[in-house]
Amino acid sequence: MSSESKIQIMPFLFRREEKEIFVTTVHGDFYWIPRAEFNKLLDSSFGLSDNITQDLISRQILAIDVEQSIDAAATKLRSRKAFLRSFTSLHMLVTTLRCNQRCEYCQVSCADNDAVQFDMSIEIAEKIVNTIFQSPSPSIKIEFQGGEPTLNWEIIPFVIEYAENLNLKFKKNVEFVVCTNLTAMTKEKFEYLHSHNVFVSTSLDGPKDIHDLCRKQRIGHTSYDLFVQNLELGRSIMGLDKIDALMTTSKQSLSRFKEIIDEYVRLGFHGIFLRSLNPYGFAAEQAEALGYSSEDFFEFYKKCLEYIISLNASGTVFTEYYTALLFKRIMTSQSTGFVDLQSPSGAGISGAIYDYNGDVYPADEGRMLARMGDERFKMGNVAKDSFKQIFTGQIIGEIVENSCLETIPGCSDCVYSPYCGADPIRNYLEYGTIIGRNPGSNFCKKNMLIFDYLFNKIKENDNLFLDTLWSWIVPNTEGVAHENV
Amino acid sequence: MTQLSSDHLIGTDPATGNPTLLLKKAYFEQTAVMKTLRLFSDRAMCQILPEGEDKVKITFLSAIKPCVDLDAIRHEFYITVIDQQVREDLLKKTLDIQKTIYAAAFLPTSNVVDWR
Repeated sequence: MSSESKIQIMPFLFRREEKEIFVTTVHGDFYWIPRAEFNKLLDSSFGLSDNITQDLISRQILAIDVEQSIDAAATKLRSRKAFLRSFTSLHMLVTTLRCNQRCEYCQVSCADNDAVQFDMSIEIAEKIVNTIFQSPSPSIKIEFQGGEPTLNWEIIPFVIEYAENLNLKFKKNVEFVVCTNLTAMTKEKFEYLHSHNVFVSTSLDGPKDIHDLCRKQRIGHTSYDLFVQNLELGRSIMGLDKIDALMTTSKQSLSRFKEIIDEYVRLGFHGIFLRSLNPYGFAAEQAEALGYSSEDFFEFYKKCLEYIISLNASGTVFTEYYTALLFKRIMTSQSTGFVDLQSPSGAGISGAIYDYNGDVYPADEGRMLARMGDERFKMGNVAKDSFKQIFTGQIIGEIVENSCLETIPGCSDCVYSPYCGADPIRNYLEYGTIIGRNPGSNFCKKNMLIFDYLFNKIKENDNLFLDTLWSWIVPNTEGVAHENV
Repeated sequence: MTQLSSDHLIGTDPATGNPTLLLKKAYFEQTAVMKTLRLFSDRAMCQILPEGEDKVKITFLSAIKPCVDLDAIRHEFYITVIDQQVREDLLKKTLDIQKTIYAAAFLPTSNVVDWR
């Protein structure tokens, strides 16, 4: 190439593969380069083929006009990290620690049905909403959690109406979500939520026997029948799209992937979020009975995904939400903030959780730790601390500083770091340090396996697979044509 | 000792029989070696000691997981430390550009919240 002498190498990450070197950039571009060509890339005299040179320039791995390439890379990076601009938008309220279920894998510290001393008071709820509206974010999502939040029902309408009133002044985009197991819901409660445009997020682990295995009622054991009955009631009032579900994978789910997906389809859900078990709370105590390796989870995930792709191919539109999120991160420069997989971590800066007594934590795991006697992550209390004291304090600063993958040992050199995230509180729970020990960690292993799988599909240019995933991230299309990458 | 290349040697510790790897300091920076050691920290216990003035000796003491073959680990370690050194060199070449990209991406704009 005539302009070779002017070519400048740009920063990139790489990994040796069987025949090629896989290259990614902090701004999210990627490329597979043959080994021999990679050596030329590293050699400052270059001598790469024209095609590869052009491909690398278009991805800002090489530059002819350095300023222009820096601008392009910075624009993509800024766009990918746009979630940082708004600050905390997700605010989770624990209206009560009481729960009418005793789930085998529960990570939170639920209390008995009658333990009303763990209910949030109206005074605390009011202070929480005042704090939430101090967030600079133009969008606010208030999520009611528990225990089972609907057991302390009076807090929910109070918060919704108080927030709606405050919003006449603040004019933010406010959304409400109630996270409920549905078993304490009634016609009146659904009607109230519908009248205030509230979303419902619930949990479904699969067919009756799988669901009931872990999600037990405190009285009567089975929760599935009541769940289905109230799901139907809720949909008849709120419509199909206002109630969505999360699935938690236990050891017993691993071989039942097809039945679990079929159950979601049968019950009219448009997608599923395949969630692995977190090693906290009861799940940690029950690790022997419920737990599995990252490799086992990945096999389950892969089988589910392949089955979901086949369903889409036969006309059933059904999404796996985690895959859709990762695919969007890989294929576009759009911002995809996701509290659990973000760099820097979303704990505190994207989401925060308010305990029943007004204590504020960056994530539910921090709250759980406090219940176990370790208040390491308590950011403050709404009754005595201002928004600024809570959200610009030492804890949140420490989390952000130590959860940028770009600076974390091991992660900073990983080719998947532009698409991945950190979980500092999980690291603290597992390793006693918020930076963690990524070699061998289940969090790292699981995500590496999933990224390996997705990038392999992209490299193979698996048309059916990629068209389906494109249709998930580009709504209102039935799959779009894509060029080879 | 078997010669892997003119500057880096694989061998065996005469006292214990553990696999060893000699790396010449002129080719491998401390950061590259230490980062590589960290990457293997879940699979093998390694010891790093100076060997003369110009080399370091990595001894692969024991496997952390039962299925790990220390000879295979040593080979993988050698490949990884070469890649890690390439990363260190690349970082030096591109650090200024990287800083400029981050500065351009995150310097305050009118959309950024002013915390003062």
